[in-house]
Amino acid sequence: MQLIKNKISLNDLKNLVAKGFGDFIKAVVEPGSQPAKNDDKALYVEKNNIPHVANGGAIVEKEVWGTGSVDVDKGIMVIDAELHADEEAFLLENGSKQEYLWGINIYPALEKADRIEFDSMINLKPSQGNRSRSVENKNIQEKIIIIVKGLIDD
Amino acid sequence: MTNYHHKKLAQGRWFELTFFEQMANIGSEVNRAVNWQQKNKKDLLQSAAERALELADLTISDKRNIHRLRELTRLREVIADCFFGDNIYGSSPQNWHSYFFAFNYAARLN
Repeated sequence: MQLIKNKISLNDLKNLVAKGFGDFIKAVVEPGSQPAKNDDKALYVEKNNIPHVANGGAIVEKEVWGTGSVDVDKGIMVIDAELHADEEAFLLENGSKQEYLWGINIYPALEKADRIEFDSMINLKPSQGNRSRSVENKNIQEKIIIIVKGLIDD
Repeated sequence: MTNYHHKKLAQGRWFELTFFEQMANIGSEVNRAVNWQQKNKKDLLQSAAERALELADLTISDKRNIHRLRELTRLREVIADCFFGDNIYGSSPQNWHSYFFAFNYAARLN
C-alpha cells in the first residue's frame, strides 16, 4: 500500500499493476474536505498545471465550492492494496474522514478517458445520497479526475 | 500451486472478512466484468471474471461458510455461465446488481 502525495510516474504505476491484478490498481482518493454540492454543475479552476475539466464539452474557468475555492493540491490517494476497504482504513487511521473517501480503479494502459473507473463497495453511502458503487455526484467525480491526473505523471 | 490474482487475500486476509464483505467484493468484480462486457473489452472482462471466480472459490473454501455452500456453489456456476459460457441462466446486469447490492449495503453497516 502506498500513500501518494506527490506524483507517481505512469511507468511506476504500470509496474505496480503488473505485480498486482495485471490490468488495474485499486485506489482510494480523498478529494479535499469540502462537502459535495447537490447540483451537477462541474466547476473547476485550473491550478498549478492541473488541467481544466470539460463539462459537456465546455471548459469552465472557476470553481466555487461551498464558500471558498477548492485547493485541489490537498487531494491525496492511496494505492496498491487488494481491497479498497484496506486503503480506506489506512486513510481513516491517518486522520481522514470516511465521508470524503472514494474508491476508484485505475487502468494505466487504457486511454485517459477510460483510465479511471468509479466502482468500489466503499462508495455505497446512502446517508450521503450515494446509493451505488459508483460516485454519483459528477462534481466529486470530476474532482477525483483532477486529483488523479495531477498525481500521475505521464 | 495456485496463481492467485489476490495473493495477500488468499494468504489469509480474505478469511478475516465478514460474509457480507466477501460477497460484496465478489460483486465488485462481477460488476467490473459486466462493465467490460458491455464495452466489449474482452481482456478486461476475462480478468475481472477470473477474479470474481477466484474470490468465490476463496469464499467457498472458508470454513465459516460451510452452511452456505449451496448458495455459493450456485453463485460460482452462474458467474462461470455468464462470463465463460452461454449464459443459459439468463443473467443480466440488472439482476447481478440487485443480487449483490444487498450484500454491499450490509457490508457497509457498521
